[in-house]
Amino acid sequence: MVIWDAFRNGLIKVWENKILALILFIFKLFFAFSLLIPAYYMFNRTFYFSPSADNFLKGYDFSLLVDFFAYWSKSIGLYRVLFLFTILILAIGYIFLSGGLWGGLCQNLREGKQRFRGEKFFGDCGRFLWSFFRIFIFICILYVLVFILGMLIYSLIGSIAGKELSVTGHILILIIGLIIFAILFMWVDMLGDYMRIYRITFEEKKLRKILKPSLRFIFTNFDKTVLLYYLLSIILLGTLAIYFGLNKTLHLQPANGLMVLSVFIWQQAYSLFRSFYRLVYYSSQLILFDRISIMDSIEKEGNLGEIGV
Amino acid sequence: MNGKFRPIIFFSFIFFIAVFTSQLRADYVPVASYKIDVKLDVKKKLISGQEKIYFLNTSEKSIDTLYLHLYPNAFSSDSTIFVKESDYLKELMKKEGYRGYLKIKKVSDKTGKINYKVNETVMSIPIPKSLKPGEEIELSCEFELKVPKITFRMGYDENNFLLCEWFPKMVVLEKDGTWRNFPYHYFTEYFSDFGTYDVSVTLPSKYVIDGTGYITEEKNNPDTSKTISFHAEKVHDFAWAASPDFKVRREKINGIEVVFLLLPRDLYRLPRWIKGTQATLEYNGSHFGKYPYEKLVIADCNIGLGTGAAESPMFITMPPGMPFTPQNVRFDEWVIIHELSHQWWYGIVASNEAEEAWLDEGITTYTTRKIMEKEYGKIGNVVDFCGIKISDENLSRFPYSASAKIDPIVKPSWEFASGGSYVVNVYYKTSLVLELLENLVGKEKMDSFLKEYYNQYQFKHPKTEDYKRLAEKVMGKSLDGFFNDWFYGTKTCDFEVRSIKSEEIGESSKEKLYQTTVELRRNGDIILPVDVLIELENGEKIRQTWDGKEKWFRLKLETKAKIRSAVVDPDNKIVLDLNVNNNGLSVRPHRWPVFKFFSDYLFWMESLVQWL
Repeated sequence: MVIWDAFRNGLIKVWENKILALILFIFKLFFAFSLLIPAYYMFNRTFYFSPSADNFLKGYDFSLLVDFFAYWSKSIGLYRVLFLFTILILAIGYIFLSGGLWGGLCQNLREGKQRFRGEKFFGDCGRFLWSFFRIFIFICILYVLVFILGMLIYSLIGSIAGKELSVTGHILILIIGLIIFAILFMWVDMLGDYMRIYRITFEEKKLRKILKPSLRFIFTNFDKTVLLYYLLSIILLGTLAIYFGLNKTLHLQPANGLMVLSVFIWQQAYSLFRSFYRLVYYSSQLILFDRISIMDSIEKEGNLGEIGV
Repeated sequence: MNGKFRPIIFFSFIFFIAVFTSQLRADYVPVASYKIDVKLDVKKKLISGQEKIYFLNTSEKSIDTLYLHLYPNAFSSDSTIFVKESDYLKELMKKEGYRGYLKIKKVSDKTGKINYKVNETVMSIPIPKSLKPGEEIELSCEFELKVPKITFRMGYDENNFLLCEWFPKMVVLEKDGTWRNFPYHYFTEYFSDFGTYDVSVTLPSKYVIDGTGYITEEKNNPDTSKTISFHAEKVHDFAWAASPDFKVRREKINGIEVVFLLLPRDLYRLPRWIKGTQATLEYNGSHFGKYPYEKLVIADCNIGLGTGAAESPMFITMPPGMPFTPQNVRFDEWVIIHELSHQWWYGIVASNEAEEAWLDEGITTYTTRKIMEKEYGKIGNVVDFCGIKISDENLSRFPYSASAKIDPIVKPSWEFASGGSYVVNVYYKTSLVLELLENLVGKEKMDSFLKEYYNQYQFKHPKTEDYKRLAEKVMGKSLDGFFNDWFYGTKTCDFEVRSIKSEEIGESSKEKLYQTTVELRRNGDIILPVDVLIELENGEKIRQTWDGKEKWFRLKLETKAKIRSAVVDPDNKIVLDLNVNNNGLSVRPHRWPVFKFFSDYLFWMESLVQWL
């Protein structure tokens, strides 16, 4: 019950602060758009007056793309240099700034429903920039470690399955391996959110002092934290299925400007929803954290009361 | 002459021609035959035994020295020609187990022991008495093969063994008395004469073994070993695989007994392999000629590093697969179709793989494409997954476009600038050149030429010139320019529509008249006639042909409407055009396709940054 309650209240909380979802969406859009510009120009220069470009309305014509990549990979043109340079600068910029943005978002969600004030929000972004950036880097390192671990699991399965098992056995073990791999990835994601919660709630700056209680919290409330995360993920998978279903239907329409425009609107609508839902992940976990913390402190106070009596 | 006899005379003539040509094609003579008797020591990874070689001098000259290939000696040290050509192998050879050798213990003929000289992967044997044209010599040879850990085509991995080109093997003697005694290079494959093989392999009873030819006897020995005897005719190698882990599946496909040797973890791939085998036997059987043997072995050599897929007569190996590969991602099908097609282009029409590799790899890659297109369509026949459609032609064009000018196609394999250049030219460029030839002469002519080529050169060693001569004969035109440009040269081809415009020049019967100009460019060096399709604003389409002789051409037409677009090579016949994106120009901009790209790209970038 507490899981559903956390999800529902998390959803409401983000809805009440929907401007935060809009900020996250615009932030993503800005970086994605900036990354797009040089590639867009290369594409535009190649296909804007090309009759064969219409093939792209039906799908990705690989024969055109082959020559597009071959041509531009051989070129040292301004666009290509600009493209590589932009990617580098934007990647660094995004990683750094997203730390600060998440600080502002998390702090605003922690404070709950109130009138949005830009100066406060951006002040929070600046205040939390460095510590959230460190959390971000730490989480990235964990992703890499999980990836290596996943590869090790895969090789281990390969060496076991190659000798003795039947096909079904081999596939089953491989599925189990993939599930373990996915679970590890999800845990890293979840750990990142709880570290942010601890950072905001306790104003603790040191990474080590955030990591330990976050891990402790996840493992002492293992059933609740994991169940909430999976509930959120299952709902996300459902929305992805809806997205791809409708996207496919839109592509069944005649390949013209209207179809392209409808697909674009649908893509951006879904992208906005994804930003909203990303915050739902965070706020649901924040509410779960609060509920459990309150219950714990009531329990402690109750016990103390008994001792006092 | 009485008219009623005419059909009789006509059919008698046809019968005579048929008998005569079949006699011409039945002039098969076994040149190098072997009787091999070996024992495999699975613990020491040693194969020891002896062979008898029966070699017929089919040249026009007497010979005093015989040459034999000792391919496994390529792995004998880190300084062999073979190893020195690969940095990867150089490192590998420092590790334990990767070295192997083929040691000759004794060579003799009927008169007694003969001296010999080993130079890495080639052995020379001065014979006591000259071997005259048409004479045969019988040699005996005792040898020991230390099987290396598998890196390339032959070796072991744990308990699994794969042996191709593993025994002392006669070098091919040309008609003019020249020996093709090239050393074994990293990028070379093989070249051998046809013959009859009788091979006995003794190995532990628990091992499953199969290979080239038919199993004639299986005998259990008192010492928990068994001896398996094989017999094969009209083949030029005896390859085999053995493992205690193999699961054997036998299928009758198109009347051929196909034996699948699978490692347990790859059993799931069997249905795809069967489908690929069926498609290949059907297509090649109907387009070129029937597979001439009654058995085919497909061994799963998912062992070790670098084994990959490989072809041997009546025997192919398959590389490791990827579990959960979607049905529409058809790399497994591609590989099996390619390796099986080698049975025609290498196994039966056995050109020199080392010095004219395009004749087997290139024609096989072309054949693979034809089968993939027939089975899975022209577009997206290799990958058709999540909206991404990649065809076999795309897979050839991309590497070709990236490194088109480095080497010509016809060149000894070891003289290519790099492994990449070898693969690009021998596999991809050749397959595209043959595709271009097909587009220029028509599919029917190309098919009938390849059928004739197969029939005329089966169990023989055709060369590039033989191929060209027959192609000219069947297609009825000189291919000198075509071969010089595409096979012997590094010229490239890129047509471009540089500019288009229409200018009003007056009126004719109340209709406006326009001077429409299309400027065409030939950016490459290759001269080819090319079609140009012009579309006018009123929907009218005009098709013209430009001979492509000049570097540029201004096509001028009087039209009743303004030009809408112009496309050079509208049917995509010139598959080697380096940049198809400059093949057309429109007056109106194509905003929506560009916007679609923009929209999709934006969405995926947003999704990517969302994850962070």
